[in-house]
Amino acid sequence: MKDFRSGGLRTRTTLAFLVAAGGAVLAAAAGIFLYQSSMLEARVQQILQPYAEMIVVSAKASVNLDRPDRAEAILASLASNPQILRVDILLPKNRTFASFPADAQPLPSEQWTREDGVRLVGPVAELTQTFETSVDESVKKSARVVIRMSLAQLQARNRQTVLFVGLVGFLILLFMSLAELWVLRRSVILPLEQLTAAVDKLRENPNRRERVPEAGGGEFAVLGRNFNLLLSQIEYRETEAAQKNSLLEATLQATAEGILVVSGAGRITSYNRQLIELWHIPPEILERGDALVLGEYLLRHVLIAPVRGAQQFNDITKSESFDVLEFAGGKIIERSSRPQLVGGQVVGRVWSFRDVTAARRAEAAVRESEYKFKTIFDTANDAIMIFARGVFQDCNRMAETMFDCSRDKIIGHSPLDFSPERQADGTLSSERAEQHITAALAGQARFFEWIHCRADGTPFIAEVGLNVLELRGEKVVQAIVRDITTRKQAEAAQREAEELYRTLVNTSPDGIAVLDLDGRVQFASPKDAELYGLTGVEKKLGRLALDFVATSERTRAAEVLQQSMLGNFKSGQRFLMVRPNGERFVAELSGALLRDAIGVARGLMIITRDVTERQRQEDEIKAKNDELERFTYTVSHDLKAPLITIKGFAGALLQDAQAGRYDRAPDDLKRIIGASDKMAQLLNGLLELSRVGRMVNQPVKVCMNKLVGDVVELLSGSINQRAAVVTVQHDLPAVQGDPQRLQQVLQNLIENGLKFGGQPPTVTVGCEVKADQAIFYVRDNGRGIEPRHRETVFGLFNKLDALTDGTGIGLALVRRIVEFHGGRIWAEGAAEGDGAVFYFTLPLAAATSEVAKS
Amino acid sequence: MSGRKIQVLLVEDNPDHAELLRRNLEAMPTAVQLHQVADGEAALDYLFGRDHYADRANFPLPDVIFLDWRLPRLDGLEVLRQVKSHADTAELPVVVLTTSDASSDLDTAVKLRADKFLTKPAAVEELAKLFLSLGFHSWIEPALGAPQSRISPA
Repeated sequence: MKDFRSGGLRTRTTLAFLVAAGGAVLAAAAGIFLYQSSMLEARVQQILQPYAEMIVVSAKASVNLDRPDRAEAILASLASNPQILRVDILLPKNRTFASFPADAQPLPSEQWTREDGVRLVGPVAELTQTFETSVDESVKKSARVVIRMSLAQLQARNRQTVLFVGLVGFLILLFMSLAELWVLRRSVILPLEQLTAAVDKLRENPNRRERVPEAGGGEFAVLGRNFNLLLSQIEYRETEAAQKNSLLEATLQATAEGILVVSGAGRITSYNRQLIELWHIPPEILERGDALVLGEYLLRHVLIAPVRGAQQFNDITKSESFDVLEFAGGKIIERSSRPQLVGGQVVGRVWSFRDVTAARRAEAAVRESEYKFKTIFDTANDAIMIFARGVFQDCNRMAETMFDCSRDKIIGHSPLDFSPERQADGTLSSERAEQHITAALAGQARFFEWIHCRADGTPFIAEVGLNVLELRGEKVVQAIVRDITTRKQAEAAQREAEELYRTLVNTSPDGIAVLDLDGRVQFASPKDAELYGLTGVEKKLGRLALDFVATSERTRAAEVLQQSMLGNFKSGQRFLMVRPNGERFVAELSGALLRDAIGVARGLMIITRDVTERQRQEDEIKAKNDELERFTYTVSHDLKAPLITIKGFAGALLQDAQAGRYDRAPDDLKRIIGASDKMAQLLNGLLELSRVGRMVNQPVKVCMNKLVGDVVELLSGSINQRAAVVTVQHDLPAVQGDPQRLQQVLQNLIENGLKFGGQPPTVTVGCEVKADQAIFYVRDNGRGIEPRHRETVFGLFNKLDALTDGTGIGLALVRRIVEFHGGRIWAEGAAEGDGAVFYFTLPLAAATSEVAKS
Repeated sequence: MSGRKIQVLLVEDNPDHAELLRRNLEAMPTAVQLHQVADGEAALDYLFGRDHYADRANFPLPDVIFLDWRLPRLDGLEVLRQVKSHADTAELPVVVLTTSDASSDLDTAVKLRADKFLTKPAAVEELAKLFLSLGFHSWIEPALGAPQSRISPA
């Protein structure tokens, strides 16, 4: 069976036919056999009936006559038919009347009861026929004939017939089968085989152009034609598909967009080079083919939403999608996707990524520039007008304001309607306008000043810029008009102001300079250069301002300069300045930070005033004031002291007197008198002192030896009293001065030497000459003056010893006199033992005469 | 109160003024022992127990200092400054003696933590008030009632 089933069509058909034919023959034979068998009974009757008829007729008389022998004779005649096995004539009660063959066994008893007819028992057939005989009407006799015959012959003949019929039928069938098979082969199998072979070949080599034969008629020709048609169509489709495929492939590779195709299961089925390049996707990610992994990789690069995650790549919805992804580094990607549908089912999704970074930026730039233009047009402070075909075509709001009329009064009008007949230089506005417009249309941008008129005819001066623009295919002129009346006025005012300031700067008695932020001189007025001892302004330019400041003041000046650059200029500060030649002067500086139009510091203006003389005067006044203050203070204080004594003891005396007590009175009165004397002394001293300040005597040449001699003479009483020794250098130089005052100096110093010298006191007067100065000294042998007191001793009313007699005016007076002579006085000497030395300088007579005059 | 006297150091160069103050202190209803020095340096020597002033039996640390403002060698201002800046003497009350109410002197003295001022010549009751205000009640109070008639000058 297996072989059969797997056999070729031809084998199978042949076998099928043979089986069918065999079956048909067998069926026919069986049919005939069955037919023959069913007809046997009738046949047996057909054969045996005549015999029975004949026997009945013949035997009737024998039965009647009761002559079995005759009957047997009749029966014997039947022997001619070899088929007949036996014949019996039975009488009622199963009595055998006659039989053939005569020696035959009696029939079974039931034979009599059987019905008439044919009965087949095995290979024997039996016919039974009952009959009646009568001699006369009254007497009737029943008898039956039973004939048995062998069926062998009949059956043999039947078999032959069946065999024959079967054989013949089989042959016929075989022939028919073969014939049909042949037809079948020719008309069905062959075409099918060809078809199969062709298909096989096609299958083996799909690209081969193969055709099945389609000659002849019938269904197979149709089939062949259809098949070829189909093949052609397939080929066509294939070609078409190949074209489409290559187109698709080329498109995929040629497109600027990154393409990713993902199956519904999330596998990457296709992608292009651009996709890789978009994010530099590592090849291993794409090779893995898992869209989710790719999604995660991309997600890591996503900076800004929408971040809807990597899951989207295996999206199986039917909808299309579009979104914009922004990535780190400013990359903007437009992502669109569309499901891949097969038969209405989503099998995957095609993702397209477009890098729109540049486009977006360009769009933004265009939008911005459009916006800017629109903004400028709408909000410009200048009138913007579009001019073509001789008239204005459009204008902005500022134009309405500037020309003082509404838009519709401008549009459609000529620029000449808004210009006077002639321009400032006397040329005709129309001619000038024509020139400008022609030039502008020729592509030369024009920029000029123009006198315009407002709607009411008021002229104003404007600055006009003309540019040619292409607007809807037409060359138009864009005019930008700015009303510069105010600016012109401002310029004029500025020129005036500049002139004013220039004059101011050049004639100012103060030096004016401008420093840059590095502190270098950028500008200097002539007076400034002069103040700083420079022969020309240019010599100051570029130099550091600090270079002109005395070294001792530079640190402070640098700080002030630094603060000034920050806008914290403290005007009125004074600095000691140095000129290049070494001269010094005191400068009072004021200044201000210069800022540009937007407030950024640009430099520092410094105004220098030479206040050397003022400073000197101020110092002098201050010194005098201080002295006066000290003087007043000490005077008020020290003059009060005797008064307190007087008042106090007078009060005590009064009290004592009231109490009737007088023992202390002489002492108290002495104290009062002493205080009064002291007061007189003080007042005299002060008077002396005050006189020094307003000395009127002309300085003269003074011989110091003579002067010292006079003083020693004057003090001789005191010297003698103390047994003192006064030594005087013999060659004391002559000096220039007031002899009366100088005598006071020497007297006070020598007196001090006597008073505070040793026991006995020794006083030495001498002199050293250094340069044009004489340095005199008066030395004693007393206990000296401690360094800390060497300055205070010269203070008014200052005394070192409370108990010594004296007013404390002497040394103050001496100092005043020496200083008035342009000299200096100071004290030296060790604290103990070596005695005190007072030095004072005086101008020498010869060298000082001129100085004294001046 | 025991028999201890109020120890007063008077720094005064003017002997007449010293005598006036001494008399008025004696007129006080309490016992006062007066120590006198004539200049600023001596005052500091005394207070810091230098040289022969080291003998505290004869030159005890005063309970109060009367300090003249104008002094030879070292004036009252410097003495006050040193007294108040030295731990041993900073707590000693210092009464500054002035000849006038010259404000600059007073200001300086206040800055240097002078305790009181006394304008010369000082009357007895002024001195009494001064001692009271300095906290010497126990020395003075018992005698306060009586002295009125004895002390007050016209």
